[in-house]
Amino acid sequence: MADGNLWQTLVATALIGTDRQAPSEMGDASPIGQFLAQLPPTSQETTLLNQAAALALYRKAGQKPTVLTATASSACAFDELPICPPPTLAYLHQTIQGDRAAFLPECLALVTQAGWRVPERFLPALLDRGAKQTELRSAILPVLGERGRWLAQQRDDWNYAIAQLDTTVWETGSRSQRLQVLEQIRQQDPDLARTQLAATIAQEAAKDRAAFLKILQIHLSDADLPFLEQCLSDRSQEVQQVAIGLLTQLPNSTLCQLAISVMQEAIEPTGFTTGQVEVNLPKNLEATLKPFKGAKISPLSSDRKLGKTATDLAQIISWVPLASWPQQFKITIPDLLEQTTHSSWRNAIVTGLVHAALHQRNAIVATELLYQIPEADSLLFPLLSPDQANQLLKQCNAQGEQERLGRLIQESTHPWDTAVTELAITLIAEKLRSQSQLWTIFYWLNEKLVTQMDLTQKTLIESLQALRSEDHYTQQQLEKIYELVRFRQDMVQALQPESG
Amino acid sequence: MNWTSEQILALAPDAASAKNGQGLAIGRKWQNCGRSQSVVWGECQGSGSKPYRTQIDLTEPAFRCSCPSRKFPCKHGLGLFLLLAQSDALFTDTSPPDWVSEWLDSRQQRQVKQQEKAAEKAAAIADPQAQAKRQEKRAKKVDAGVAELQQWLTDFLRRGLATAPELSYQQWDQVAARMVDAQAPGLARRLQAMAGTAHSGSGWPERLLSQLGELHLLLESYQRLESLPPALQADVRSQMGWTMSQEEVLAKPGQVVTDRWAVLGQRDEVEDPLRIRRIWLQGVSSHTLALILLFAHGKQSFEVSFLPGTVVAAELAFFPSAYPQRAIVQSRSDHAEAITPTIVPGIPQIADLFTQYSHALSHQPWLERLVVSLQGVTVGQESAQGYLRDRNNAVLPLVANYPALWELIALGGGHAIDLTGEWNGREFYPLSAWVQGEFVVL
Repeated sequence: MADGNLWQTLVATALIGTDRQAPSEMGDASPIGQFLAQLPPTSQETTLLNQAAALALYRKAGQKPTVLTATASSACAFDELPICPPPTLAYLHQTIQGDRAAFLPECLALVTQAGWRVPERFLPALLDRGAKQTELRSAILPVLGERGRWLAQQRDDWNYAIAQLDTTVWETGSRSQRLQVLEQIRQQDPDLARTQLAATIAQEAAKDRAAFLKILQIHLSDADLPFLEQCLSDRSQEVQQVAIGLLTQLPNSTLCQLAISVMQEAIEPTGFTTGQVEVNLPKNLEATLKPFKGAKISPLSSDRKLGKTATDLAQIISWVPLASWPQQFKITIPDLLEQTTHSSWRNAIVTGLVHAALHQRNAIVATELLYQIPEADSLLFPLLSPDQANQLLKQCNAQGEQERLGRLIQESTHPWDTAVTELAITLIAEKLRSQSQLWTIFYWLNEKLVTQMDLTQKTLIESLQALRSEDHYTQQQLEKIYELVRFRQDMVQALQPESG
Repeated sequence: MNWTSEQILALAPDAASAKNGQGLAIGRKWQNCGRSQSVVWGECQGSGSKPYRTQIDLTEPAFRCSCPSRKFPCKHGLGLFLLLAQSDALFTDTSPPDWVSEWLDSRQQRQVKQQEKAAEKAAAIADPQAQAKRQEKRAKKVDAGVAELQQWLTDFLRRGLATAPELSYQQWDQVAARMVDAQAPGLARRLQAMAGTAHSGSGWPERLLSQLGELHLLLESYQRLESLPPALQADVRSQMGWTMSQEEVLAKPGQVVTDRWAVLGQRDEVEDPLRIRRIWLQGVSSHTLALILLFAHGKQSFEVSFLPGTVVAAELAFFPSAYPQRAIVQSRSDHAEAITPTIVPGIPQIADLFTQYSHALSHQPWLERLVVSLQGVTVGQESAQGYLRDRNNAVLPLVANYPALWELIALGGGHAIDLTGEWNGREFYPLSAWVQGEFVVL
């Protein structure tokens, strides 16, 4: 009997108990069998315990390792990127695993700029952060190095970091996995992504159809036209709206071409030169717009409500490619705004242009509009580049639009330049003096100032340090904020390539 | 020598201190940082008006800080140490200020006093008559406890193990408590460990029978104590919970080994309210393995510290045992050097680990764990269960839910690394690794 069988017999006897079953003779020719046979005779229970003691130890001491037949998975390739040097480690730790997570995007950007990769030890925590916060992924990818990508292959929730595509996920994955894989495919092969989506879109739920369709924004081109135009007849209004939003960015689309021709008919070509714009919308407009019934345009504010015709006009204008104004109508956007100041269609034109800038993601036109139309702030301000945004904020200050300045600074997410940082600190100081809306101040300080302020000017840091409050709690908060700013300053310095 | 952050963080008394210490590892937080031979110091501005004065004697290492924290080492000590590891350029080589040299002097004086005290205690213990009396008294109690437990075991086996799931934890605890009363806490521990076995999932009858078998072997051995070799007698006594005090070991050690000791790793466990730290050392010339076992209550600090990844010359007194592992520090040098890759030998294949383990069990059948350095293993995982694999494709399971599994996989990158860890006969718990010529504390 092999020791395994001896053991099984013994366990069975022990389970039943000696009251009901006597332990069997254990001896056999094997060395352990011979040993068991030599154990002195005693009570049934002690015999059983003797056998258990001997066999358990024998088995424990005689273990052999399992041998795998499957080949080991491949090792990670050599990493070209150097690893972050030691002085950076405290900052990586604090932003990746510690309580300075707010600075992680900036920290990762600095690591990327320096051409480093994150040390191996931090990779699991960093990949976890990206798994939970999708907005961090684009910042995480460049610092992973070969090792990080190799590691990411081993866990489904880290799969987002892997360059190679797993197209089967498109068929079998969860909603979020499918969104992600479609996005990856679209980045690498726009046509393939569209073909895949077109093949399955009819079977998707309405909400998913809209979400998938939005991904075509990446590398959007005329090749997408037929599919997008087909989507206009989708049952869901949400899907139609996404399709229209994409089509307005393609000047060759039927939608844009139709908008141009309607505008040509509607506006007296001479109107612009005389400083007066006459608008005569075509009679059969309703029929013309029928294929695009899913489109909706909302007024910029409650003061700017539009009537039926004005809504149609705004809609048409929002579809006209912005480049067509100087090219086909021979008028620049600022001139158009200037010349329609007193027009009875003013509201419709402005609303249309704002939506055109929004759909067509045109930051230049957005800036031009924002200088004149404060109601467009919430729609267009996010489109601006950091420079454009800082310029606009300074303009607000110059024109005494303090309320708007405060609001826009709060909404901003871009890095502030020196002047804007100064403005922000002044605003905070004023609020501290007036003791009003303290919670807003803390929000500002915590969420905005520490991550967006300009750190290059010593005077700014000093004026921040000079902020004081009579209130003990507020003062404590100020000191915490100052500490955070100092942390960020140290981090930026430590993550400069030369300091490594 | 160069220290790594992980080595230093291993000294932290808890996670919060480790975190706060890392927050202080920033040059700006410190002033007047200096170093001289094996001591570093610095001043850290805290919430008080005066900055805290923090100093580290790197030899042990030992810490002192003027802050009011009762944690040890405090966040300032850890922060300063981390700063040294990450940016040592900030520390100027200079003669120590008075507050540092005073501390160093007082430390030396205290050490001398401690040694004198230990010698006194040892002398007191050496009184053979008193000792024999104490032992006799205890032996009587233990004998009675053993007889009672054997009866209990007999009854249990008569009813059969199938009745085990019906036994409540309380019932096990009652038997265990009787063993504590009988001054055999080692038996109590075994019984408490068995209480959960019947609820530990499939295969529990085999596990329970193995545990009962080991317990039985211990009881039988105790009853034949006089017939066993002296070293094994010591093991049996220690398994019964009849532990020797430090003074007793120093007075009558199993053996004394003088060597340069490589600090291979350490592991902390909590058995409320006790914290237990195991530090594993290996002699550079003797290759002897040694376990320094430390206990601390609550937030107390451990009395001894060895930094994993260092080599320290020391004289270790081993507890008498047929397979000596546990030792206490009789004396140690002030000087620590960095460990180097081949300073202590590892074993090239997983099969050798099993040979070593079976050899150890043949000397000391109740051995709980063995520390082993494996050469050239790759770390893999299957559904987040880690395993090691050697060049012959033999595998060794890692402990389930090993906390640093993904860090270890990331560090290894699928390449062969050298790994030191604890083996308990079922699972391997990695403590440190050599990755591309660098010692890594896990």
